[in-house]
Amino acid sequence: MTTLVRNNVSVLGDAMNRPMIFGHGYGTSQQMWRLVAPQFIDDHRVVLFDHVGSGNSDLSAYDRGKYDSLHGYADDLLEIMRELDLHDAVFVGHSVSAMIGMLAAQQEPERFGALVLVGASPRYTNDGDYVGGFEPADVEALLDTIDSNFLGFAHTMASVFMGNPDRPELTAELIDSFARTDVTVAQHFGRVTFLSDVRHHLSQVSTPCLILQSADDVVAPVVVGEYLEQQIPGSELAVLDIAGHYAHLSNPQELERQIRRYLS
Amino acid sequence: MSDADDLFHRAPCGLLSTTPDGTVTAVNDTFLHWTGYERDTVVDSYFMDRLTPGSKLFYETRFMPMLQTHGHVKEMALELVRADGSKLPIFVNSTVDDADGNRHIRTAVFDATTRHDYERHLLEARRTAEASVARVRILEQAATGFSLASTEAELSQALVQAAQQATDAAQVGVMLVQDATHLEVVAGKHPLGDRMPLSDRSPETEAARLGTSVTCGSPAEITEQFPESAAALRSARVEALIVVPIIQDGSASGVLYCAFGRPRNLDERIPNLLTALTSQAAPVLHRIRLQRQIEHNALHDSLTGLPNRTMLRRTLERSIVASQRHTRSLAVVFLDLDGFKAINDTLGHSAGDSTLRQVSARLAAAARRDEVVGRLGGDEFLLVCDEVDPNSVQQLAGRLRDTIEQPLDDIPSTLPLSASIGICVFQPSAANVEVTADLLIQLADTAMYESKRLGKARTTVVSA
Repeated sequence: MTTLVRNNVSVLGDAMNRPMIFGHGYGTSQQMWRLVAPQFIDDHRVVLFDHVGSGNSDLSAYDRGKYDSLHGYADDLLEIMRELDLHDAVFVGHSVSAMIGMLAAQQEPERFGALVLVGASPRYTNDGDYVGGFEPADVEALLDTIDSNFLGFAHTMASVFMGNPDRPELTAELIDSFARTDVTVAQHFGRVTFLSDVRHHLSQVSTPCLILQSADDVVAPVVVGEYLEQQIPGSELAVLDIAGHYAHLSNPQELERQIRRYLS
Repeated sequence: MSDADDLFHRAPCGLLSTTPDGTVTAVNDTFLHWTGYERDTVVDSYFMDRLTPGSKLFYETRFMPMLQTHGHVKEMALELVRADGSKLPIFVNSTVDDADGNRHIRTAVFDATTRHDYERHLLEARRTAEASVARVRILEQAATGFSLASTEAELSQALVQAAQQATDAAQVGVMLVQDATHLEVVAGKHPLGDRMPLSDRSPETEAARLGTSVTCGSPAEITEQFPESAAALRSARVEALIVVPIIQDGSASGVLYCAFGRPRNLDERIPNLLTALTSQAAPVLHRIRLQRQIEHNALHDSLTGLPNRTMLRRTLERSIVASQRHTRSLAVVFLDLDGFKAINDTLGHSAGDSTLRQVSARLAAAARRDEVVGRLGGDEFLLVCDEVDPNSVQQLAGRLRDTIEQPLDDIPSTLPLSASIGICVFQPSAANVEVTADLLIQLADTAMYESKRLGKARTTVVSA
């Protein structure tokens, strides 16, 4: 199993152009970049991937020990970049991927020219004076909700698979097992995402860094963006007049404009 | 008011329309009635604002991506916060509606209070059942792995696998106490190296010394409890850890450690399970060590620690096969001490034992790495030398005799020691394929007697 298959890597655009690699957030896949990534193909070598356990990645590669912290995901990102021999790349990471990219950039700074952190948070739960926006009990409630929605997910996935003539092998039983695995991974990745704390890494970031925070994002509030700007040396915060946690879906043009402005 | 309006407002479920980003554009009376909000509060605000924090996280990270990808979601369980702060469990169906050229999200909300309580109990029961099944499975698999283990390394590897399954730790390993002074990694990997003196202060040595588990759930706890290891552990990406001793006869014979890459809640479940695993492993480790001791005793001489007759014969049998396969010579050196009886009779058995031990140490030191030296019994020793040059066996014998003739500790020079040696050189050929270890030893023994007969302190060489 090569890295590129494991992480379902897609590479678009001219190999001579500056690389731009997109990392997706918790609960999603590279599909979430479908309105933004194509805008950069003309002048960048665009790389998209799915984290192991998400999207169309190879689920058999999901090693619970490796992926029990964000470091396992950061190691994968570096493997992809080594495999494609990427240097001076622009890494655009949404949500948990923003911090994964930050950890990777610290390990091998020469591969990264710029970090664009979209809706990022170094710690989702409150801690003393630090405001993350959630309490550990809220994260447990999320995991409960994932558990109680197992049937709903199985149902939604079933309606997708069932009508798919390319996949006649998919029986209800298989769909159930897919959904079950999905729930197990979703809970583990949820725990790792929302209970991680990478604040102590922020001061060691040497890559130029643009922090994009939506004006009213429940998952990553503006106050967290301000914290990131204070902690990451030389970083720049831009608060987007965009609703919600998915700036790349709700206003892809604004996101593209901000990235281009920062890079120019 | 039209019948359709009536249906909308008085439907037996809450109904909402929102923009793609979740801003409410229309809401029915049923929803307002259930939740106690004014219409003005709900319209133009986010639907998500009405959810509990846990449901908000779910809505943003699971519900919305699913809706975006598939165009609809069905029967999703969420929780609303009513105007008075109380919670209302709901089921939600949502559909993306592009019919009029603009994108709307149409949502129906069902009161799920009764089912919620019921399913809550089911869920808890299922979780408890799954947790105990997982625990039993881990312990059973471990028991199988342990029973198949015949070496310390195999046992440790089985323990590492079981602990890995039980904890999802990034790094798991087993360290055993060696020479009563060190902890050494026998299976798995350790973030800080393979060997540490027990006198160092670290989570592992602490657990081994005190015989109790050491637990640090966060970097802050590591720094507080082990300031001297904190920096190294942090750069090795260790943010939480647990070390459980393997207790045997009241003291730790080793430790099982698990290191985590993020803060972890190491409550009762994980320590209990790991302790159950190490308690299972401890008697197996004891059994493996006893077996190793028994095997060692069966093949070694208890006075000198050298290989005994049984082991020498086994070694020689293997050497004969190898020498025949590669057509090369081997030599069997039979050595009997001259003057030993006088030492024993004059100074007593303990002086005799001391002499045998000193001679053994000297012979072992004089032997090359590929030569095996052992004690046949009494004052008789045997060397098996593979790949020997038949012309140089006299030199070898000279070296052995010389080392024995050196003065001995605590033995007066009036009681000198020397060696009578008989060497049998075996050169494989078609004529001697039937040769046995016993035959070669017997020939070397006879040659040794020839040396004795000729006046002792000399070497006789024969061929086989």
